[in-house]
Amino acid sequence: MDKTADSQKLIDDLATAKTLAELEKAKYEAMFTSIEDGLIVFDNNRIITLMNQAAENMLGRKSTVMIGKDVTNIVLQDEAGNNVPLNKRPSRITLDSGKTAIATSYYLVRKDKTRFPVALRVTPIKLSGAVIGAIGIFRDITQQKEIDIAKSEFMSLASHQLRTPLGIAKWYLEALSYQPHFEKMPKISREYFDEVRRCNERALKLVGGLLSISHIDQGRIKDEPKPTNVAQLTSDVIKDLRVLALNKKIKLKLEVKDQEPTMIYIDPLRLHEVIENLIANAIDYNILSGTVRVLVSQGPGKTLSISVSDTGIGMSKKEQELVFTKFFRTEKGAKTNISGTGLGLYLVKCYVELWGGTVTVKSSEGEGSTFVIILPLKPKNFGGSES
Amino acid sequence: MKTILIIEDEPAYIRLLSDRLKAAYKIFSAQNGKKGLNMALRLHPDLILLDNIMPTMDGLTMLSELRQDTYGKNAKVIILTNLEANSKIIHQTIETKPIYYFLKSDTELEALVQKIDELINKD
Repeated sequence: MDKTADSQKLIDDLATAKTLAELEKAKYEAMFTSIEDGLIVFDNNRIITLMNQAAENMLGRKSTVMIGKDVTNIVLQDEAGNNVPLNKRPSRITLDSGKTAIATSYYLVRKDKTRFPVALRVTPIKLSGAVIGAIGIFRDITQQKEIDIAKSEFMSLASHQLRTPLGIAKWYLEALSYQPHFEKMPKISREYFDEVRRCNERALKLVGGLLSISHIDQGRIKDEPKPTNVAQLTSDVIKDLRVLALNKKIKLKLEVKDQEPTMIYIDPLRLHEVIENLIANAIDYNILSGTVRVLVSQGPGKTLSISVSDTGIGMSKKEQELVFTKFFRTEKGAKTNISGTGLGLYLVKCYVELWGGTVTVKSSEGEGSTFVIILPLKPKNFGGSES
Repeated sequence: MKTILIIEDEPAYIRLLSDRLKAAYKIFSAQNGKKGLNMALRLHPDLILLDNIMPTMDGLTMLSELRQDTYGKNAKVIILTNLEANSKIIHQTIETKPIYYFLKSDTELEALVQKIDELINKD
């Protein structure tokens, strides 16, 4: 082959490669354009290299202007309207860690300064193991948020409406039980009556739980932190629950470890509710003559730990995974304590996480369960506004 | 005989409370805040049981108007509602000074009656 033929082949190969590359490019461009989610590609210096039509529309910015600029020129805010600090931006997290970052509680700010809630996902682009850039994909979740709010408001309204007739029934049933002829009723009639009354109380409890949840979902609960002695508060809860424990001959034991002060700055009423829920569960799902051990101690780091152990029916692995979800009840649990609502532990988790703490469970079937709450010594004040 | 005014839009509540209390007290009732306010100013009852959510005028509005009156300024009022107090309600109740705030669905009827007996006879 002579030189001319060689060059000719090279030119042909290049032309083919060029066509192929153009074909690939056209394919990618078509893909970028057709995707309804906003899509922005940037390199490891955070410089934007690509931005699709949907991103342009959502942000009100032209890709021709944005390409070549730092991606952090696009303003990302938190709920309160503060700019998200650089090191917390998903773009930065992904470039630094080489891992996908997801955010669902931020807002993207348009060119005209208006903003929209966004579900954002940033995935790294890696070449031979090195991060050379990332792809950010985002979706406007305004509608989804509105639906969530409407759902919560409906739940709150429906619960209030339900409460009235249930409340009326409650008092009439009570009044009936004090009627002079009540004691003379046949035993079976009184048993039926008691069943109706128990059901009514259960419905009221459920409505109360639904209301608490709708308040949490709407961010309408108010956190009123005060310096609180957790050991003292736990001991108060135990006193309140003594009668409940006595009915099942259950021993309640409180141990406060370390002489460190157990004071933290937290809403005492909500913490009372949280601890009460855990201890009441430990009684309700215990065996007759069982034991409930409550331990207040220092946790890892600057934390406080409250653990509640029972000698009850326990849970399977699968049940432990689900136990903190809304309306979840274990099969055995539903039989052991029929009046449970499946909301107590969900509320516990909501509150504890709002304070910046964690709640976990360890359990084995037939041997009981241990719930552990770890609270930061300076819990977050989740505030919230009320309407 | 001491008098109690029940201001409540649910007839079933009025009926039950009247039945339970009429042996010991003279009972009056009104089905909204506006009527309740007029009756309170005319009859000067010894105690008012006041619901909050009602048509025409809600309980807390009624109470804040009642407090402008010389009788009403110190009238004994128990708020009886199905609404948990939020901060707005708490703020209003601090201003209007009822002597009790009961959540109906959390209260036993007999516990309420006991509280009524206690409060109405206290100076």
